[in-house]
Amino acid sequence: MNDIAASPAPSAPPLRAWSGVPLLIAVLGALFLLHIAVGAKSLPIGTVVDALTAFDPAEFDHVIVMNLRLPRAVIAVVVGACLSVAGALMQGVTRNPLADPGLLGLTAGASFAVVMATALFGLTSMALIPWIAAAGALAAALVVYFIARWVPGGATPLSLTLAGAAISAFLAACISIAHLLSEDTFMNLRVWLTGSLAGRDITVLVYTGPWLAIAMLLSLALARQVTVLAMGDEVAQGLGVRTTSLKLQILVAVVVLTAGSVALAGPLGFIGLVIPHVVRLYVGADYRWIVPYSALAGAAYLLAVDIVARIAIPPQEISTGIITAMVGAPLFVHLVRRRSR
Amino acid sequence: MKTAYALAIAALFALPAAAQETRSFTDDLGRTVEIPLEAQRIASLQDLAITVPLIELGVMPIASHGRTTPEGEGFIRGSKVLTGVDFDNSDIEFLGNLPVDIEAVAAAEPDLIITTPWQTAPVEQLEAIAPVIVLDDEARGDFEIYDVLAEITGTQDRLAVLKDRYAGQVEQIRRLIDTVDISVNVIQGVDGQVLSWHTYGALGKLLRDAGFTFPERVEAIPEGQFERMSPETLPELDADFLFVTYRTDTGETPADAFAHLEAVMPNFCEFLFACTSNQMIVMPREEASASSYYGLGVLSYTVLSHISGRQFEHKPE
Repeated sequence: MNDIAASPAPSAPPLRAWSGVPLLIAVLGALFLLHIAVGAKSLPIGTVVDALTAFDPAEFDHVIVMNLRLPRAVIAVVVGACLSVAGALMQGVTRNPLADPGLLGLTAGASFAVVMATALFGLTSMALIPWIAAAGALAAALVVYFIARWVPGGATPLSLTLAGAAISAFLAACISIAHLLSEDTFMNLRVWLTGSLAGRDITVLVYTGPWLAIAMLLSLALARQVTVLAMGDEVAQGLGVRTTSLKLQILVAVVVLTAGSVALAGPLGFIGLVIPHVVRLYVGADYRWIVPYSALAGAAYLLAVDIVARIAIPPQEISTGIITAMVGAPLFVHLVRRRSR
Repeated sequence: MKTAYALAIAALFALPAAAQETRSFTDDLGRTVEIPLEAQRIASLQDLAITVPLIELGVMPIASHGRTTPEGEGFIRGSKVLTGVDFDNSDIEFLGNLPVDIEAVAAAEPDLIITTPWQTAPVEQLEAIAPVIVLDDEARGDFEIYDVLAEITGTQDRLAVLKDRYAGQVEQIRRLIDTVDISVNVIQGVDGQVLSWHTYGALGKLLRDAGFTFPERVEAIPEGQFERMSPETLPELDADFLFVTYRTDTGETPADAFAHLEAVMPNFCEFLFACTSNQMIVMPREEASASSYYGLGVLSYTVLSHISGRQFEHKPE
């Protein structure tokens, strides 16, 4: 497992890596436009353009575009990018190809904290939810790390994955117990817990946005050092990297990216796991490329998945998290098989 | 181990039931069960679908499934306002929620257990306590379950009285309102989507029995089912009169019914004819959704008072 993560495909030549950026941006832009152009109600493209250029709040079709589809598309871009980058950083720093915010317990920790705060303690302030989610994700990350460190052999990729799985299962059980104790209050969180972009409150983005932007910039700034760290602590230290300080900074970035995403859309699985693997196939092992590519590809992927969730069985919608799992699981199996050959 | 112990005790308790006169009954799972001819100690494992109808039929169950408040107190959902009976003012034992506590069921010493597919307590374990009948309330319909419960409990006369009273209430609405010319619908905002039903519980039954019309989009929903729809379809769900509901058992108010819709679609009111025309009717969900003839009575007079004898506008085609 360690070897797979530590020695992925060689880095793509800069020209090849650069050439993919405009293509990815074009795909992202096209998916963004498609996301706001299609939905349960069929709208002529002219109406969509009118809504974007000359918004009339009394026109229902304009409201659909501006108040329903556009905020949802923006949230999909933000969440997709953040989860993918969080997954990429975790895979680099732990040298574990199975690392992602979901498998290492961060998503479960953030979900658990939000569920407890809203359902059992009546938290309703949108401004506090990202902080609660961050505290939960951080606590879960630390618990997973210390459990992995405590077992014989220390915090290896395998022990981290197992500890993450155990903590995720434990927190899921705690959420179930809280559900049993207060069934009715949990009705409001039922769909959020499956990971959904439907009806998400855009004001959460107002509170999480600045933090997510800082964490994203921090991730981009740390990317070069993550490449070195992915070669092993000894190598990194030999090259002058202060590994403990670097890991702490990466932990902060990952926790903020994960917590902000969970606060926005609930626990969405497989994005942080699959996207960095797909990206590596193209750009190789250099995190200076993996991080920005993951951000763009993750945003595009979640937009595409959410389009499917909205138009698969109109006018009904499927939870986005269900589609990410349905698409992500087989895709991940395919990637693992391809790498093992 | 605890369950095995409970089942052993239950087997002892089951002995008196075996001594009663019995008859064969085929339930909705196709199981043929020997049940007491005159069951005296019925345990209901679904509060809204079984317990409330039993109480309305004049049969007081000895134990019932229920919900819990945030403080951990058990209650029979909707029963306090529909029948006046709840755990705190009757001898009905609280059996828990999903699944009910098998040991509590055994301790209640029932001679007949009535459950539904919704209840997750295993029928195989319950059978060791007393004869078990599984009634599929969703397949049968909210009020058709009264017929089978009346047959099981020998209360057909009481049910006939309830049905006659309801028929009179429907007739009253038909006499006072030109229902065929009025479109109605029931909507609810949940999790970023709008819910709409082919027939929404007691309210839907009353509106259909009275002869109101429904939007085409609602008629397309299969009978007995509901759909979660994108808020983009909101105008398709509009009607002359729109009904929305709020949960009283969780302390909601009419404002919450509108707040849920607002969360789904900001400024929703501006895009619904019924709302801009002040023809939205808000009512408690328990009365509107429960399988209750008392609820039907309350609803019939609510509909009468809101629609009859007033000026209103028809939604433009």
